[in-house]
Amino acid sequence: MSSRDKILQKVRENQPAYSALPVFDFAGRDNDLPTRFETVLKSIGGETVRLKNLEAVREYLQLHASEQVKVITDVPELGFPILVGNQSLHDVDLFITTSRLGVAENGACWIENLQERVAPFITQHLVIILKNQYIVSTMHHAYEIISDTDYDFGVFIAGPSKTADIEQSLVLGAHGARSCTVLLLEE
Amino acid sequence: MNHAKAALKFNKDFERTTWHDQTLWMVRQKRDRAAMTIDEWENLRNTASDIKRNVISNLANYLEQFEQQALGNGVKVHWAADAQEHNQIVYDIVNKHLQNKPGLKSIVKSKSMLTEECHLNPFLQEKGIEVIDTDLGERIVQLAQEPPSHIVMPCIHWKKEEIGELFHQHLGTEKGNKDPQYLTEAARQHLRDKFLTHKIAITGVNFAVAATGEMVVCTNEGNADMGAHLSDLHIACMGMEKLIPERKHLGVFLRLLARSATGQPITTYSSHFRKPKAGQEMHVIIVDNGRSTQLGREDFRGSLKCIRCGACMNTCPVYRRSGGHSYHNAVAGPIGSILAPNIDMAKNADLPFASTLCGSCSNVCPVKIDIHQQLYKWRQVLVKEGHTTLGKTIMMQGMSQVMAKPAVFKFTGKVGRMFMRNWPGLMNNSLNPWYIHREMPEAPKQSFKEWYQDQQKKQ
Repeated sequence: MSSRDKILQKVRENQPAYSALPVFDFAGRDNDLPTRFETVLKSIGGETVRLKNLEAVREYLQLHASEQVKVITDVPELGFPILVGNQSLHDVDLFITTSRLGVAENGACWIENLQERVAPFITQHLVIILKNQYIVSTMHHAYEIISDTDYDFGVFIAGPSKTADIEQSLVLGAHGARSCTVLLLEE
Repeated sequence: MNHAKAALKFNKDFERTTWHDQTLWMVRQKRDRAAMTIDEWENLRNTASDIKRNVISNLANYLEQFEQQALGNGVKVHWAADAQEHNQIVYDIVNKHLQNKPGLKSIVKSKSMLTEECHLNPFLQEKGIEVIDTDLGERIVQLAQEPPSHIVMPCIHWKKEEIGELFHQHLGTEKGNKDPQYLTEAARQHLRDKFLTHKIAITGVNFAVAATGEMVVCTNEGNADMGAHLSDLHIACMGMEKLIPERKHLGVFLRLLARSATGQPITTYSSHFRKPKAGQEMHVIIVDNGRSTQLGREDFRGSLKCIRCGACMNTCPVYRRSGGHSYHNAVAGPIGSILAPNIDMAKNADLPFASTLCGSCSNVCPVKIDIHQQLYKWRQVLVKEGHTTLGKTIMMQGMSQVMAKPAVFKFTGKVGRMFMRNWPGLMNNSLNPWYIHREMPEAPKQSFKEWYQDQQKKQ
């Protein structure tokens, strides 16, 4: 008998009587989600900038990101080099991507469909473009939105990489991005 | 060394013990502040507990469902009955991979208490495969050749001066520099080099979703992702109780996990691995290692609800003042003390006694495990199985003799009170373990029964 069969047999023998799944419906606080998102993200080391639309983003980034040595993005409208698969990203300074889902209670953005999964982690700095209308209140609402999505890999990113392993002193920029800026769009 | 002896050793440095205590209590306070921001916190705990109870009651079906989904996603699935088999499977996967794609015989590993439990690192090391722990706290204890002392904050027992000295020796940082920013930057550069050169990565699994076959890994540092996404081979190691039924249940657990662990609303990264990336091999190893036995224990199967947040450790007064290493187990503290005896009763018989049964652990557990009640029940089991010290056995038998016979009880009390009143030195010395941190109470002239009978006569 394989380990698999042995384990499953033992589990079947030992598991208790069936206990039903709970039904739950946690409502969120729906007032001014972008402001709540902003407040929480700032409290966890992230930054936000309020902009009108994608055109405004392009202007903003061209103004601010030009000092960066190496920029890469998967948003073609921005006028920066495009991320393709199988690219070496070890020296990327800034990666700009979009999110279709932000969570107000924890400042997280859902990122998926990455041509190269390591991009938002290996970059020194991360910028995420998020429309205000895509912000939901809680993780429950978030999972409702992505419940049927057929993703290969997805990640909730909430702020910059961090650690407090050295005597509980918070340090931003452990192994992932040193900074995380979310551009909140009106449209 | 049993917990009591190890704790005594830990306590010799009173200031350090107090620093350790205060640091952990501060993390507990962060948890409280985070929990208070959620009106439905208690309801959330109930929901999480009920979800896990359902999982435990339907585990075989969920395991099969998860396997089927994972296989359909292109993930290879393995089953390990025990730690030894788990380690062997990891080795076989790595070995086979290196035969097809020769490269560094070295693996980057992100935090996995399961691999600690199985002692994977020394097993692989012996076979000539290096393992580099990439979580900063884990890397620190690895360089120091120690096990982690806390499941979430591996080097909580280390001071920054000591880390500074360790990094000076191993990473070439400036001598005497203890600035956390500086030291973290040094670790970032050192480990970044490892990520970029290593093609084999091992991660743990925080939650595995049966309905979709996906695995969620939560980190603040991003080390699990840096390892996995730069690898040709990603091995995920998972205790079989990590299953949850559906994606939507992640909402409940991800709201509870980081808030309970460190007081953050969520970890920086909550990565959902569903399929390997192009050109990558992904494996998951489902591990039993005593869990199916615990599943059969009516009083203790609730411990399998655990999501490894560490909140119980942060609040436990005994853990705070004895340190994780005193528990001689990969998972220490209150939860470790109800998991470990299941694996080895003789070796871990001391752990359920390393508690005042204050119940603080049960109070903070996000999945409402009745930890303090299980600690008490384990004591019953251990004593019945004969796993107590001879001294305690003799003392308990003596006590039961005295308490079972009213005349003996009355006489012993009278004699005891007389000695305490007239010859206090007999009790107030270092031979009396009670006296080490406490003064003996003043012995009353009468027992309560004598006083009560006197009152009755006066009426």
